[in-house]
Amino acid sequence: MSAGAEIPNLVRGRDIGADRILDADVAIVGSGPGGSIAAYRLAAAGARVVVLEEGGYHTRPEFRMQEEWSYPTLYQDHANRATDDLSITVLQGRSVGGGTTVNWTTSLRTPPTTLDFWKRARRVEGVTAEALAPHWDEVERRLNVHTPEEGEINENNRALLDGAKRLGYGFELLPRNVSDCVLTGMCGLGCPVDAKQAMHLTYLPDAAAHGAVIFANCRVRRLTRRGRRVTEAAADVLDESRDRPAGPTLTVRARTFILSAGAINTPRLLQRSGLPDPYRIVGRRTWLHPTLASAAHFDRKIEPYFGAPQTVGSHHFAIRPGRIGFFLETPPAQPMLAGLAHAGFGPEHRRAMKELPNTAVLIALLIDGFLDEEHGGTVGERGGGRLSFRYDRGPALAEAMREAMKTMARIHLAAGAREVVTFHEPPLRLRTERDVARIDEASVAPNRCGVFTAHQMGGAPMGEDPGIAVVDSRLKHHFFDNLYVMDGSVFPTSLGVNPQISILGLSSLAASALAKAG
Amino acid sequence: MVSREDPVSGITRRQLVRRGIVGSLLFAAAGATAAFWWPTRRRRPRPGLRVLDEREAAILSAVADTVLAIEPGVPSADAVDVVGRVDALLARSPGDVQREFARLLHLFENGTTGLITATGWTSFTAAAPASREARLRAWQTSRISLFRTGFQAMKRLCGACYYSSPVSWAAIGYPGPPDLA
Repeated sequence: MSAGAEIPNLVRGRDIGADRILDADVAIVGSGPGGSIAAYRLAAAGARVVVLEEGGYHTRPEFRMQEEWSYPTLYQDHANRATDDLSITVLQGRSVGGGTTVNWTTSLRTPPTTLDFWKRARRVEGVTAEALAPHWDEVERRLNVHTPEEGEINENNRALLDGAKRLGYGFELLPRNVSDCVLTGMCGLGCPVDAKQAMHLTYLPDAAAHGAVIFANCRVRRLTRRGRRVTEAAADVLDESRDRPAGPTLTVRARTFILSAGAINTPRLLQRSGLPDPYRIVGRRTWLHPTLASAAHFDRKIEPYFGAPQTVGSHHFAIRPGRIGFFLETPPAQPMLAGLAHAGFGPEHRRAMKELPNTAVLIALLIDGFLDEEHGGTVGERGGGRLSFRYDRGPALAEAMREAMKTMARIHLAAGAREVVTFHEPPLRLRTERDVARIDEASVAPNRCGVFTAHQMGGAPMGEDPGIAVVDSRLKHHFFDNLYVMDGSVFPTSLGVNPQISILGLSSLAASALAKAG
Repeated sequence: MVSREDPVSGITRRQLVRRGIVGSLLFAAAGATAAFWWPTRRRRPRPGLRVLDEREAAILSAVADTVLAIEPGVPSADAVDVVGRVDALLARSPGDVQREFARLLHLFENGTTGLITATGWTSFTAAAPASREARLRAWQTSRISLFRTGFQAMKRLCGACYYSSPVSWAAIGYPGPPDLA
């Protein structure tokens, strides 16, 4: 276990007593994977870097594996973020390290098919597997990305492996960014042993070692511009206990600005700042990997809350021509997440909760954004400056939701489940293949079937055509000479894999080019 | 992108479906049930609660009991202080969210909502357990999107706030996080 050393040069909101104005070469908004690796690359090249993070700075001593602390503290909107109609639950990180502090460690590179699609359909240039390879190689070394050992597969993941094997579906062991993992299964709550190589343990201290200064609890309200340049970022210092502005403000003047606040918050900041958007594309085409879940009760202990999550995955159904593909993973299931996610209420909900020790859970992540009929999510504002977020559902999504749920049910039944419980309202109970057909009849209308997202992408897409892209293929804003976006919002579609390595690789590529250009 | 039209007039069904819960609830309250709308009686907050008033706390407590289906011998929603936990969450949320949630509670309590969902016209807190269940079931599967949204808000909050408490764990066989010492 590491000593859990603090990041040097990190300032918390509570340490800022009065308004401050700072000058820097580079101001970065957000300390997730994009902002952290950009901070490191640019600071290492000699730039004076300032990182502004709205979330708090939280480290191992606080990560006591308690959902009641972690979700409200480490996630956006205290883990209550959702589409306006609550039909899609949005799990998105919000602390120093961003999503990397709470993600489930899966570390896969962008699929070549996705990169090819961007080049062909969205005019992205130079973002190829070859160009990204050296960056990925380095990132994977720094984060100790490696494939788990056989003995690290818990019963929950074993059910996916067994079921897929019996049905002849392809599956793979998923690489993870951990060192000396002790398999608590609590990755989503902040790693209690600093095994997960999150940004607050890797690229942020690396950046700080080169002089980068990181401000926690500082929410950027607005960017100011003059002509084709952004001149300053104005931030409110937050009182963390109340999650409201504490009074003091922090203003950063810089030569270059990089937005790394994540899909949803980066587009919101662009909108809030009133930056030109003549084609009305900012905040549109937001992709989520809309995620369905399926639970199954076994006659043996599964303990889905312990052991490494997502050691086994399946991309067998990722490519379904003309339809929305999906991939399968195995989430951790601690009681709060289970209590929130399980469908139904009253005795049926209670029964599902009492089965938790014998429950295996699968998730299917729909690979959205590749069909012409898809519009994805739209980020905007509703009254009082509040975030508005909607997601458009077409027939292709409904078809994929049903196929994904049927596939998960079949896998669990093939693995020996006594019954499968779906996340429909009310839930279906399935015991045989004949029962599985009932999924075709059940409503998948909003709030008739649980949908989640832990992967937010798009909203400020990259590409050479300013009519469909906010930033170019180097991630520079089409209309501003010193404004960049380096986070998941630049992806023109969803990825088909968990996003952290894609964000790190692409941001590393772009930040290195920016550092070279001086 | 920003919609600012009057939430209670000239609204199409499609717009209703696409609106946030605030607009939808106003629509339901003012548009459909104005004549029966229960006036919100603000009372002195009970000690410890920062956002919810007495009446809202009572409604939430009744909803939590129905959602969680606590059996004999299992810690009740009050034993876990579901109301206090929801209140603490609300205290850190924006004012709009607090007001929206209060409106939702009043809509649950409102006997007229029972009429719309054909589950009787008594208030939620005064209804018998079976009637409360029927009311929640009607919201869960309603063809009106705002009721389904309201059901999800209640179910998720109650589920999350109850099962995140260590007090609830023994009864569902969760041994708690591993001991790393």
